[in-house]
Amino acid sequence: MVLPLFSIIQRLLRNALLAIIFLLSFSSCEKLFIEPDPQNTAVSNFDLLWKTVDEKYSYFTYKNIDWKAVYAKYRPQVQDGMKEEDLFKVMQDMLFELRDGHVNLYSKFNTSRNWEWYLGYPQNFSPTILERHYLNRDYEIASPFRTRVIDSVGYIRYSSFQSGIPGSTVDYLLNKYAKLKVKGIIIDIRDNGGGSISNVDVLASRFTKTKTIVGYTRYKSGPGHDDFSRPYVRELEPAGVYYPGKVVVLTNRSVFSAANDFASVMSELPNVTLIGDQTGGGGGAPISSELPNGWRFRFSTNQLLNAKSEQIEYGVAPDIKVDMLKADEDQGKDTILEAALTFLK
Amino acid sequence: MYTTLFRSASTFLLVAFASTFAMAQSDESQATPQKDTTKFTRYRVISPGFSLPLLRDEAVSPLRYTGFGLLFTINSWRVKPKVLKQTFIKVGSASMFNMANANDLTLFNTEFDYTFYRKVKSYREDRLRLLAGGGGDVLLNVKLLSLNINNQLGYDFAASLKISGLLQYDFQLFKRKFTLTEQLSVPVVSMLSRPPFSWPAPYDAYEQDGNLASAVQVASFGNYFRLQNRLSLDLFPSDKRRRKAKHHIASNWRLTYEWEYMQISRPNETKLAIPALLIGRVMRF
Repeated sequence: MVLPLFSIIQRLLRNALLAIIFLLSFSSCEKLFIEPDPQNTAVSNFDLLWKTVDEKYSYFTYKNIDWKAVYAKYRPQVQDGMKEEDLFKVMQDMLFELRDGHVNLYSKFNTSRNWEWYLGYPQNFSPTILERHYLNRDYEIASPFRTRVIDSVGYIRYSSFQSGIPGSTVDYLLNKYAKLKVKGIIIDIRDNGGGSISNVDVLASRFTKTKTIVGYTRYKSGPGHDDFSRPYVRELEPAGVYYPGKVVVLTNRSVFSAANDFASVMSELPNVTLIGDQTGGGGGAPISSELPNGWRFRFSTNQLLNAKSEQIEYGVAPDIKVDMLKADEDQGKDTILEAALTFLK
Repeated sequence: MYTTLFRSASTFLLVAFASTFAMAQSDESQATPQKDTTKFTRYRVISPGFSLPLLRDEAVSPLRYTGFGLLFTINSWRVKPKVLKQTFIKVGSASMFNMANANDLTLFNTEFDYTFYRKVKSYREDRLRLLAGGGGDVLLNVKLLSLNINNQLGYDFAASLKISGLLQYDFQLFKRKFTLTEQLSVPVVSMLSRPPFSWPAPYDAYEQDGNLASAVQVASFGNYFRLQNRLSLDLFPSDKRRRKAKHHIASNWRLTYEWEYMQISRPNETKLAIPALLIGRVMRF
């Protein structure tokens, strides 16, 4: 009795297996397994933007943002069939609530942004005064740097961390200024809006003799607003030519993102002093995403912390706070640069 | 609903495979042990082809990407009456675009695969043969999105132990001999690496010892599912040509239709399907 039953099951299994194999063989059923794209409607685009940010943005708790309330405020303003310029405006306003310079929405006709991190503050930098009264005509352009000796101090101007830094250039400059026995080095990163963090390490590694903890990084590890990885240690290792003298980093409110990180890293080194205004911030590195209508957006997904585990999203405070004075500007003087030269004398 | 359907089908397939394999084991154990002294016959087919991949990877985009790709495979196998050992190497690349046509993705995929089969049953005077077995494979998919900031690169790496089934059928049509081969593989346990939830590089990539542990996970059906389905049609030369040829068995053409589906659920779900058509000439060596 058992044997025929077993034989029937065996035959059934075999036939079923053969049938399934041949069915699968001739079917390209990938569209069955891979869900269709969200619809390209105003509501669908809005919802996808809100949801992606909801799951991956890294500063909701730190900034005390009620993202569900933001949805409730802006979602009723979106209807299918509305003009794309109007939809952009609603999405832009929604993203503005994040108060984050790393958040942008890109369409073919506009790019949304939140630049309050510098627009509400004094500029504290004048490229004209710098060029006409300090660099003059005989400065050197060494890779991304503009550099010269000013009052026995080695001055290095670095305007964007998007420009790659050859380590050999930094080594050349530091060797040169060490031979000239300058009183110190000024690294001017005012108005530097950031770029690649790898450039931060190349430059900063010349000013430490030992491996130093310069901060931590926490990553979003899940869709909850407080789902974060443990803080990963960030260490700065010495590289290239070590400069043992005094170093001043000049900062203002337009120092953002990788430049903000550079200010934070340098502030952990004992022979470095930050002079100027607080930096603009931007402590979370952004990633990109996209919507069915072809618009793209970016937003912060991690948190860079300083060595004391403090947030740097809203900037790094200088050791010596100096603002540009109108009277100095009228005389062609850069108050912050003058303060740095005085500090190093 | 699709997920349920998909899970049910895959579970059924596994059960079917397992039971077939178990039956094969019991058949073998009952037979009188005989040492197989036959030498392996070796074959190789080098096949170029094209593919039409479809991809969704939440690590780089919530949208589907589709496109056209080229691929190149080297398939070698050694055969005895009851055993088939197969190695398979695949390299492919595809240019893909999304529904909004607003971003381009380049997909590179490569795979190395070894499978051991043992004959389970044969029917119709050995013209229909069922083989079952298993093996291992290593695959790497790399996705490049030039317009993304920081997350330009997505990747999947998997090293798996798998179970496989193979069905071969010899038939004649218009006085020509054909062999139809169907292979199906499913990984059972795998070591996976994917970009973490919110960042393309492993979280601890910048830490002191460069430890990559945060990017590696051991996975099974709950988090990783892959189905490789390869249907090959061997067209043997005509009798007239065969008489002229040195190796009369080994000069057939092989047309292969391959359908591969891969799904990793965490972190960031990714699904990739690659249907492909390949053609190559089988060589005996």
